[in-house]
Amino acid sequence: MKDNSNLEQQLSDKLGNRSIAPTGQAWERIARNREQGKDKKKKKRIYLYYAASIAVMMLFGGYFFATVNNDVESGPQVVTSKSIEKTARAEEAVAIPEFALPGQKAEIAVAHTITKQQSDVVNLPREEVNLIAESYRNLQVNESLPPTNVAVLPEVKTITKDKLYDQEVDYLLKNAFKQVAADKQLSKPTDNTALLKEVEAEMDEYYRDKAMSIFSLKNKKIRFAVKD
Amino acid sequence: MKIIRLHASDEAVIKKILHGDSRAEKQLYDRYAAKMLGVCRMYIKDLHYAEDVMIQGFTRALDNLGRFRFEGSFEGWLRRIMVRESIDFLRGRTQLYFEDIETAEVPPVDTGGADIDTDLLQILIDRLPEGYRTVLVMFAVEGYSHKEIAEMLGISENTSKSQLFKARKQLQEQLGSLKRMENER
Repeated sequence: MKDNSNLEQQLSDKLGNRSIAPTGQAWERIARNREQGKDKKKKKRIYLYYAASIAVMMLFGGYFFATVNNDVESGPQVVTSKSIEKTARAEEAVAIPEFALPGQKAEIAVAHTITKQQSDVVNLPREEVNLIAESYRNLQVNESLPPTNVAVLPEVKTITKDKLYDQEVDYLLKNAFKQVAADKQLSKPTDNTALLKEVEAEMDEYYRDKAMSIFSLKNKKIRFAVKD
Repeated sequence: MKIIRLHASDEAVIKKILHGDSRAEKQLYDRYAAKMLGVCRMYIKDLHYAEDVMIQGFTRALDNLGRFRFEGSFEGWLRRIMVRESIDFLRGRTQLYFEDIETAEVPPVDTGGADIDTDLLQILIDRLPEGYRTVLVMFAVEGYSHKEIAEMLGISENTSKSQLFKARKQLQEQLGSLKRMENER
């Protein structure tokens, strides 16, 4: 016979196993909740896919951007006399018109080389400048050119030995001024902004000179073409 | 002779659900909904709220059915979910309040051998404050230890014990007044 003296035992036996029939809509509500839950999961998954694809795209974009930036040299370029020569030669090849006479070609080439070296020499160290100056001294431009060519090219014939010396002295002076200015700045306390500005100014000057030389050469070419 | 199995095991039904069979979901619901509503009703006085909690619990159980490891009984697992849902519901309505009282050993309430009706038992525990009732039901009906109750409710073991002490005391008083009323008749 069952002992009914313990109330908690009765609670466990009677209430613990009791069943109460739910209303008719209970299952419909559960089904609806489940559908809503599935929709939420789907949306969440879609958002995750979107987020993942955006992240992948950004990753590839970043990688592409980094590689493109690496191709463009952002730092200061080391310029050597050999590289200058190479560049000058390459530019000569482009600059000399095909219709020019062999003598004319030689004059144009010399003129262009001089202009090019004049523009580049500003950023070169003193030893390099001296070397270039020495090479100028050894040039016998006027002596090598035939008189007919001189008549055809009035701009080129102006490049005489004296002129070369003057230009050389000018560049040496310019370089000396720069050196003095740099030495003065070294004694001052270092300032990032000032250094950056200085570098920018130097770069601007370099590119301006380069552009000017190209522009003058093109101008000459046009003149020759018009004359012909 | 072909044998038609009318009552598939819980495991078979659950596996069907996990394979996307929505009819199996209904089958599982039909099997346990009434029992689970009974569980929720022990904790929650209002039957409508108890049904809401049962629906919420069932939805959660079906959503997380993949986590059931078939190590214990499915009913026990489902029952545990319902208890947790009921506690969350009471907490959400700030009906669950536990006061610390001096612990004393109070023996289980003696009914004097009387067989108390189920509805009367429900009325008796409905009259108890939420905190007392929750601990009493968890301890006496669900069979949780004070340690488990303390963990589930986020209280200390002593608080759980004191709640049970208070619940028993009040039940004893209620039974005493009921006896007196019967004697007066």
